[in-house]
Amino acid sequence: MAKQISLITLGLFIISLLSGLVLLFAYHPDSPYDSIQKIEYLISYGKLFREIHYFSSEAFFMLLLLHVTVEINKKFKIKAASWIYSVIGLFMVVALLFSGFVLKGDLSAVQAGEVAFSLIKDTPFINGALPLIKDDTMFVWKFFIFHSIFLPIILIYSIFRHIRYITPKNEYLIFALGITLVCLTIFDMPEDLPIFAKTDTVTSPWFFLGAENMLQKGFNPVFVNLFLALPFLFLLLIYKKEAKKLSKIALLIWLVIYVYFSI
Amino acid sequence: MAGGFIYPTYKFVTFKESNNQNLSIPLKDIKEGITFVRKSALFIYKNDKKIDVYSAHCTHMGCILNYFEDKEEFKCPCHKSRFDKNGNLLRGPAKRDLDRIIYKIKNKTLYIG
Repeated sequence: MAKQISLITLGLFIISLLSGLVLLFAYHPDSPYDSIQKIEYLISYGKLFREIHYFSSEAFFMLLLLHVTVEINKKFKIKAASWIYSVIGLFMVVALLFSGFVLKGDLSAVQAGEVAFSLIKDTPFINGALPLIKDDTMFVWKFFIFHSIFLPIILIYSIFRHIRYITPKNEYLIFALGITLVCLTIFDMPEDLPIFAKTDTVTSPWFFLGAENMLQKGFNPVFVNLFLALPFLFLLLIYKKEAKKLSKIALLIWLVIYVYFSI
Repeated sequence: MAGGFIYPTYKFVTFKESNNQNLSIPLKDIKEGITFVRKSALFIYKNDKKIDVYSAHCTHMGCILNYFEDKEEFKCPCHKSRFDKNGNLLRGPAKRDLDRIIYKIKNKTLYIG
């Protein structure tokens, strides 16, 4: 079963990557909201490709979390190098999902970008990275560069270092496409809020809801940033046999706390 | 050797032009009450006695505020901080008033930057 999950996860990633490449032809970072609306309502099959990209990416992330859960509960020894690339890959996926959220360029996206800038600016040691993602003349420009070039390259490299001997199989690719199509039939994508909308509430990506609620309750931004980094640290330590049990418990406690803040 | 490559790369990708906003608005175009200037993300508050200019970014996490005329309040849609029309903090999680922007008036025009 573990192998099947890995192959479906890989299939979802390939679908997300290919649909993203198609969307690149119609996306303009100088007018993100307008180009998303064009893709959605004007360009033939634009809505379909956008939904395929969105739902395959979301399903990829969820299957990836399931894959991680299955793998860390296995008894066999994990190779350190392979494991480190897995954790880097997981971080890249979160970064890709977040940058993708910002790229839609609507009101929620702009606000999420501003919160990310503040979180980085307020945190010592990583605040030097702010100019890497913040562009004063074009809000989404650096998010666009990272989302469409650097993050996928690092993720693909991490995946190759991680799996090596597994190659995508057609039946799993078709199954992954099936999952995506079922998702886009059942679920609706989050609504795009016009940039001038005057609203009481904007929503962040679902996986950052816990962090948003912590910030709203007045938690220090540096603490929130460190808290968000913890699961990656625990995951990194899991490959060490002597730390595996403790790391798993810490990860579980972290998850319970984060779910508590998310709901 | 790596450092010799990384530093110029970092400086290149993080290059930033002057931060001056260089905004100019004729006074006759500024209406009484609150005007939102989206491009520069700032609010201009004008009444018969004075003009105040505030950053439209929340002092908590930088979200762009909304102004609600009925309550005469700025509200943060991200984390619910609230400020009155003079930029004073009414409710957290923000911990300080809105940032005031320095401006000058010359030839019946308001200049920022």
